[in-house]
Amino acid sequence: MFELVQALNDSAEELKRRSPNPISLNAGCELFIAFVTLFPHESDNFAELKKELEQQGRKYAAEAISFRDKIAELALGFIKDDSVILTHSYSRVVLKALLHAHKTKRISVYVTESRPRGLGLKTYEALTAAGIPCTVVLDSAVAYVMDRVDFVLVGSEAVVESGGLINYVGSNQMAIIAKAANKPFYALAESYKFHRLFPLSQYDLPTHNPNILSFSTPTARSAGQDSASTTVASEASEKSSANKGTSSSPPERAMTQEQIAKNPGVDYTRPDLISLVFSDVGILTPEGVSQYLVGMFAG
Amino acid sequence: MYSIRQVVGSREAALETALVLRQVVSKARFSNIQQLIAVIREVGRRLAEAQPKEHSVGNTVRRVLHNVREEYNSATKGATGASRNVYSISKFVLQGQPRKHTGGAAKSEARITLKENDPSDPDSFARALKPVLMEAIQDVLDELETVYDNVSKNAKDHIHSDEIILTIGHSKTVEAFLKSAGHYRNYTVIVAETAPSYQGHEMARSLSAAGISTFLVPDSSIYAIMSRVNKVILGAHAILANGGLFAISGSLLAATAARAHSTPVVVCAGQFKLTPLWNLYHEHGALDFADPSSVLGFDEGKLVERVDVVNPYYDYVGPELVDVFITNDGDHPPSSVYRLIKETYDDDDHEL
Amino acid sequence: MPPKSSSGKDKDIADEDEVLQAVILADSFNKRFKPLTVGKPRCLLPICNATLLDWTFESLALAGVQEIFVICRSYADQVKAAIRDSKWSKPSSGLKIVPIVTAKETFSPGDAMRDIYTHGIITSDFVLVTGDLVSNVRIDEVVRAHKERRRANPNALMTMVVKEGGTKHRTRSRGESGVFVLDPDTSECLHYEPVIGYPPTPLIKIPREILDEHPEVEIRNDFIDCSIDVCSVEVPSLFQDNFDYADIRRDFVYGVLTSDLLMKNIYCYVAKDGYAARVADTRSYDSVSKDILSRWTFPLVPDDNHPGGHAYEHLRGNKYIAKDNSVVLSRTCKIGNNTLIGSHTTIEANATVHASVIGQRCKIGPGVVLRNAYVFDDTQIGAGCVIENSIVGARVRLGDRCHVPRGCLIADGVVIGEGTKLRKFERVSRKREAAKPEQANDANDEEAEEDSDLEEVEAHQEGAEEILGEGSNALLWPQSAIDDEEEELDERESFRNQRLMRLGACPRFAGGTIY
Repeated sequence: MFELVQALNDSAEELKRRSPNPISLNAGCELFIAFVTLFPHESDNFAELKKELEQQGRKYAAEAISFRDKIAELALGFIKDDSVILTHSYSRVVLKALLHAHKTKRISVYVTESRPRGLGLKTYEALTAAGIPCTVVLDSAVAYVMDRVDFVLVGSEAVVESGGLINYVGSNQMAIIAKAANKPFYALAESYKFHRLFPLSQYDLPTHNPNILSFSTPTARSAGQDSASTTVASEASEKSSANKGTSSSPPERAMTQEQIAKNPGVDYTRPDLISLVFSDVGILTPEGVSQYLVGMFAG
Repeated sequence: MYSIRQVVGSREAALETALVLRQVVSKARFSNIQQLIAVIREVGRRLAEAQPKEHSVGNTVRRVLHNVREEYNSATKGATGASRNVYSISKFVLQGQPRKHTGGAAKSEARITLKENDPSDPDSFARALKPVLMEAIQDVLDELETVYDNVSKNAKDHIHSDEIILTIGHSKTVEAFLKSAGHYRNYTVIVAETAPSYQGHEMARSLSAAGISTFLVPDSSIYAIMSRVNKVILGAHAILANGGLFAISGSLLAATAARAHSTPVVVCAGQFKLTPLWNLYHEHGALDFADPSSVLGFDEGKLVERVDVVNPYYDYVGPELVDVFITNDGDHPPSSVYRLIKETYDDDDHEL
Repeated sequence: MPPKSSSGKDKDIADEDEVLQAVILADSFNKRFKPLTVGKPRCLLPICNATLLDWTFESLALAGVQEIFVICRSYADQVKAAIRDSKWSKPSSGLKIVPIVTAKETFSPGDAMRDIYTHGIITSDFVLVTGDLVSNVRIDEVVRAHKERRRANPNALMTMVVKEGGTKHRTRSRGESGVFVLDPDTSECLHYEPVIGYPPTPLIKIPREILDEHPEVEIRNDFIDCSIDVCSVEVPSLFQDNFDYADIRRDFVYGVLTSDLLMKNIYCYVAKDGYAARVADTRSYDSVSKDILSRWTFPLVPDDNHPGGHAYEHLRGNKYIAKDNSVVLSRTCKIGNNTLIGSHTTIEANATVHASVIGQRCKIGPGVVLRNAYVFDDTQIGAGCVIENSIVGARVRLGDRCHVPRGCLIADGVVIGEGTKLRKFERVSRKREAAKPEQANDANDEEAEEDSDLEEVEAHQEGAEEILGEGSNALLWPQSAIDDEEEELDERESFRNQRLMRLGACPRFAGGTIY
């Protein structure tokens, strides 16, 4: 039995290493391992148990497909006719909920572009194809658009023990703005995304590494000087380059790959910013999520 | 079966519902638990539909269902060990670790032998179970009977001498609470008159008759006097799963004014007002719009034609504006209402 | 719960064991709703998607009535079937409804009262209402007041429920009303004088004795007569004794009050709270609909206690949309305030619906404009139609780009071709041929009467073809009743007075001006 758990843990590690974004994967693995360790079995021999566990795993995977429909149905009760919804990036469960709502209600959607991967455009295409009026907004225009919006609907990478949310970067600022504007912020999460994690800040996420947000030592001659003068110097150099630019053609300003690499892929949203979490086990307050997680993993 | 709004007040409605259900259970014929649950549900749904905005009806039905199931489970404990075998991952997610459930005390000595679906004697199941079920429903009834007393039993710990309390509307629970505190403390109540129903007048009369020093103020001065108020005590029509509540219109004004002055807001309500619903506050209609006649007389012929009068009966007060709920089952912060609801009702009864 | 319902908990115990009876005069005894009432009785016309009869039942149930007798004459079978199929006939409703079919020669409420007398069904003081009442008045309180009064004064015959409304109130009938002379202390009605709109009643006479006997009198011309009367047991017998009493107000009340022999008293109950009104004509149909939508009838509102048993969601601006998610609203349609939309109805692009009621399973085409329109069930309205201040019956098909201006009544089952432009106050019904087969089985007097009506109409069909467009099965009803003089109609049913009671009649014609 112990061996089995060990093997599972190892393979989970392996999977994690291969995936660029291991958080939701991790949640699923942990769920299964916890289940295996706690599974009350009556079978005498190990082979039988193994078979049983395998079956359970498959059964759950099959059930899991229907979770999104269930969530879409739950969310429908919250989507009023004629409402304007803001969503972030691309999430299959959000998409499903919006398309489901579109069948009976008139909705319009703002979706953020969600740089650098631009997944918001994917959402835009899918929604427009279904006939839902949709507009892509800049990630930096979230505050601008918020007053026009009835509520915010986002998907999730994982929901953590505090009831907080891990999602594609930009969700946190969206939640903060929504709170400031007094708009509801709803997260959709299948129950296999409940993750046994208790991050206290952005930097406690497993995806965080020292490279993210690190300062590279500028290669220019200003090296070794204090930071204040560095900025002045770089600004000056930028100005000069801009001046140069106007004379020829305006240069396309975009981040380089290295610059992008220093940015986080996901961020953490505190539970007090989240109004409700819709999950296949029901509509939960952030506190409710932590109850489920405690139920599964604690003790 | 009660017809339109002939039963008045949340508690009356809840009591009436429990009585009807007791009668239904005592008369029903059933040979297994599913049949019984279906019968109760059906009656409950009809009752709830008769008064779509009186949530306490549905709540009482859910409560009875919960108690019935509990009785059934404790009566058949051990006999139905079969449920263990169908344990799956999704159940694991829903119910948490299995150990928790096996931990319950097995009262094998008090067990009744229950035979479900006995083909030779289909009534045997009902016969054996009925006395326990009646007891279960009686529990609900008893709780409703004593709700005011239980809510107000700790009133003197919440209200201190020489305090100034503000309240709005005429909630029976709040009235009992204030009167109970009046036996021990010398304090002042400011009652907002609660236009357009002016229930505050009635409340002020009743409180001053009980010897409590009472002031009656117009609703518009709530903000102005808030700086002198020590506590705001509100009644509730329904408490929602997120910790928000529906209360007589004007309550939101009082709660927001209290927030601006950092005055604590206390809500007094019986547990039967806990409503396992989420999306109510999105529905405009949930505010229960009454007739415009209390705002604009029907005899103002010309005006009636040209103006639409809106007269909502309730306000939705969000959880962030409430400090504590005082119920017949202890005091709770808004964030634990969710847990209370989980404990009081079964998940599958939320939709009747 | 709202205190409105502060019910008669503290009712006298004596009252408790006495069953409160009510009599509904389900027949209107007039033809104001023609042609909508061709083939069905008026009390089964829907208002806010529930029949008038259901509203009346609901109103009475709210008032604590336990036993109801429904007096029906025309289409009695339909009324009976409607009662049988309604939720009220379920044992749990707590209401006992007995339909009573009167003889064919019953032509007035007075005849009906005589019929009640011969049936001998009334055992105590009872409530008399018409089958087109919408009310939330606590009638049981009126009954209690009446009974108390009777204990003191056995001559108290009747209590009429009236409501203050001002002379120009939308819910007050302009064609027929009355002046009440009251004693302000006892609210005894001392004199009643009927008033009609055309020819305008210039003066009323008040007997001098009244002024002698009562130092202070109130002469009121601002009451909305709700036609709710709490009658003593002997009222039907009085009708029996006076064969010429036809109308309850004009003959009975007037007669009793002016009689020197009877020495009976009639009282008024001026309802302060609550709402009550009759759908006596198409104009009041409009105003009562509006009153229901703006919730004056609370707790009888579409989203709560809808008499038809439908469930509606109440949205900001008094919009009511069927709750079962079956209504399909296109993205570009505009739904204005005070609107009710029944289930399974589709409203297509760019349609505008304002202050209108739409039945179930209707199809409103693209670009349609509905303003103050009442559309019954299963009707389809083609693209670009404009309908204003009109009633469109059930199963009607309107072709594209039809224009239905102010005051039109379109009866059930009519088909109107493309591009039709109706005139104002046009009345349209289906041709007889189409209607005939259904009625063939039981052709009795009533249908014969109907047929004669239709024949008359058919006689005036010149030019109808070109107005109604191709493929239409409709008949145009004459704009003015030419033969008014020949028929023995009483004044208030005359054409010129009737026009004041029509839907969409403009207030400036109130003085009887003819345009």
